[in-house]
Amino acid sequence: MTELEQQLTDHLQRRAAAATPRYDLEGIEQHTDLTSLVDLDHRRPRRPMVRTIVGVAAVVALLALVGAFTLLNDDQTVDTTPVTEVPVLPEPPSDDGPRTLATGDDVTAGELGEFTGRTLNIDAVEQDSEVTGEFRVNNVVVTIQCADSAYGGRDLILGGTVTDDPDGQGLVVSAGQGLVTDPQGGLEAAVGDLVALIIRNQGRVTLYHPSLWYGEQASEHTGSCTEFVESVPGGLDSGFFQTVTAGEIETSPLPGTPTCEEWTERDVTADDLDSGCSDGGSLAAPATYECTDGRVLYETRRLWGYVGEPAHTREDGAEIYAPDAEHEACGV
Amino acid sequence: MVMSGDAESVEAQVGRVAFGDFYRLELDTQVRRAVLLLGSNDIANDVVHDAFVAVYRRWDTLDEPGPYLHTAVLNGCRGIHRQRSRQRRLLPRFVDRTASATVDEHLDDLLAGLPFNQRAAVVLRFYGGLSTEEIARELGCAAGSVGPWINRALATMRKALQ
Repeated sequence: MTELEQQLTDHLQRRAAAATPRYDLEGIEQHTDLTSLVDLDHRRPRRPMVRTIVGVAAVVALLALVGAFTLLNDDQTVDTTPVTEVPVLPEPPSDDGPRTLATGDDVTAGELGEFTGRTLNIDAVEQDSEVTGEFRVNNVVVTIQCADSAYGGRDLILGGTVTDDPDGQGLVVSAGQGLVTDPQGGLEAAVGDLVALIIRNQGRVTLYHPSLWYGEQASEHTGSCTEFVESVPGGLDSGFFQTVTAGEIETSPLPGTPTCEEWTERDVTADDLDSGCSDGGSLAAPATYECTDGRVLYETRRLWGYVGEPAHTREDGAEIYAPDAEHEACGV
Repeated sequence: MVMSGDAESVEAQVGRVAFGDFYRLELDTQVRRAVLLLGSNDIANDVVHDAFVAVYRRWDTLDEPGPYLHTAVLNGCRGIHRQRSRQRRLLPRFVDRTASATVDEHLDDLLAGLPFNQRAAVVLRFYGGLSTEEIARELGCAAGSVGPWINRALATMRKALQ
């Protein structure tokens, strides 16, 4: 331990010892009763009935138009996507009409903390380089404004702004629990905030909010939606988020993505790190570090190595990280 | 014969007793850690109080209230930190005590100036004694992020102390 570290340890212990916890168990019980009333005042008012009626009428009219259009065009392709699937559709771009980037109705999340049982609806369309649509987590609506296919096409990232929250639930990113709608469970993305939905191959969905990654710098983010989705950092697969495993989501690996096992049999290149490797049910995006000797260290949860050398793994497939000495030499 | 209302009342009582034990067990640790993250005894107590309220509301449905409480406190501290950052940008600093500060005051200022993740990582490592993986779990971040945060925090403090 360095002198500064020792100084810091002593300082923190002194400050912690000087803290005076305020015992107020009764206050918590009373506060709970009171805030349940106070919260009602703070909640965003529910959508006025008139707006609801107008909205329903508009939807009915739109459905009627779509139905008529479908009847007039017998050869029109009908979306037969089954419920609870979010296929990422890698159709070639077409100048003739819109391209569906992602769609899914009432996708139910698998077992994962508070996210269990939440529903996700997605409808993202691209036309003339413009991305539109929305995704919903329960009733919280995010209007999609842009999209990006990152990491060599492994992820589809849909960026947009939270535009409606009729129940006042908030769209909360809770560290370690994927995406939830629970104002007490984590960081809340309010109406007006930019968020991104990341759909990864093999059925994994993650919600990204810049504050978890950038901390206080998040409030300084004033860029466009495109800049925002491009700023989604690599390494999301290495533990920053618990991704949501939705068993019903149907995806297939993109061609050309090597398995992580292949990395143990040949030298790993810098390009390999950009595209990642397929690790069983997930895609591994390695974290990389520049070392003092000029080499580049990479690691995921299940492998590590240096660029230009094969990866190290454990035979039983258990977690493995680079040894401390390697970490130290690479400033980790 | 036990009326259903009486049975519920007993259950509610048992729940309150269990929550009381949890509260007494966790309060001290959480407040001390929040003080280190925020530098204010009063605000730290408020944040921890709010987090306990959140736990109390969900007491019947939480399988593991401990991790939930930890996350709620950290998120509360993060929220306060973000508010302060905005205020710091808007308000001039009226007191510059760099010349006359004690070492402890100087370290307080340096910690207060760190980004939240760096400060939290430093507190969890040097006060909590947590490993890199444990810190990553607490902060909900990649294990690979923790080392650089601590290194950057120490480098900033070292530079300022020179």
